[in-house]
Amino acid sequence: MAMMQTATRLPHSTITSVSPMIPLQGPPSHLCFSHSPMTHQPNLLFSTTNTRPFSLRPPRKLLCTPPRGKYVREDYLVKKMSAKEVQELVKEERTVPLIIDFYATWCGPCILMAQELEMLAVEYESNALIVKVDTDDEYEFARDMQVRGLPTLYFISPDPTKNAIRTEGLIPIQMMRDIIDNEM
Amino acid sequence: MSLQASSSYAFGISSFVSPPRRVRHVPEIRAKVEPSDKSVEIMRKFSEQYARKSGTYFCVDKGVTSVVIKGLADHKDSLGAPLCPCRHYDDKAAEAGQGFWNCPCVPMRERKECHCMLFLTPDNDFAGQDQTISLEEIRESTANM
Repeated sequence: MAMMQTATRLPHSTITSVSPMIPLQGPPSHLCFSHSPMTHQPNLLFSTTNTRPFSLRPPRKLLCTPPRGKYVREDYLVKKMSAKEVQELVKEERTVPLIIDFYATWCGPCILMAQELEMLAVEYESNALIVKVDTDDEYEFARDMQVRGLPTLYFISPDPTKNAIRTEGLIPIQMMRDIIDNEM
Repeated sequence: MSLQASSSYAFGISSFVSPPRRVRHVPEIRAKVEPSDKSVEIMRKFSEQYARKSGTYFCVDKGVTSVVIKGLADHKDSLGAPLCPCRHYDDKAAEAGQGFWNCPCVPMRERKECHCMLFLTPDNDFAGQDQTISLEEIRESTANM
């Protein structure tokens, strides 16, 4: 359901609020859907199929070191994460809002959004945690999270009873600040 | 940005971790590739022509235009059709066959709505003055990717 529509949004951007209480229903449109994310009961989106802790797995054998992504420098504040890492982040206790940016390499507005998120990361420092997920790498995760248009942002409150908020398309940085300050 | 997914050689893997050795230069299957120059040129010309025809303009930030053109070229190479690079699909090949999101997509054709910010109507805050972009501009803007 579209809970938040503001006059300041850019064309083709949409904002939906996700209730934690309503279970996932049929094939929803990208404007109107509900699911039960980040609650304590097991759910489709964040179920772990591998129960073996990382520390007990045999060390991974590398034939050669993987090439370092040139575009993901160490000094960027917004870190690229895998689906597993994001799921771990969502499950664990947090005191700050979590912002997940779903992007693709060749999506133009995603580049602008990434610049805005870097600025936001500088502003908020440790008061917000911002991460990004490449939807070409994490295909299943993006599909499970019902990502359609890019970029898609998920704002997840540290309070598990609060709705997660999802926006689609390029949104102004002020709108992101408003969501973090008022809704999280 | 390109990932070397696997070597085409089938060596037996020993049980110890061997030190990294030079991989011989053979054609490898890469997970993410730079689109071919030919496709980039085709999509560049298409973008210019369609912007003129539709009365739309490129973004003030030509980096956005360049990235989207490369994205279209990349999909043209991999799928045979320039699928919109600013969406996530369950099945890319099926979508390319179906055609809704093939550039110019239906929302663009019907309502001049391009969420990739490739074709912008003059009233859009991000619209620039240009309906042209050179290959050199595209190369320069995407050199660090």
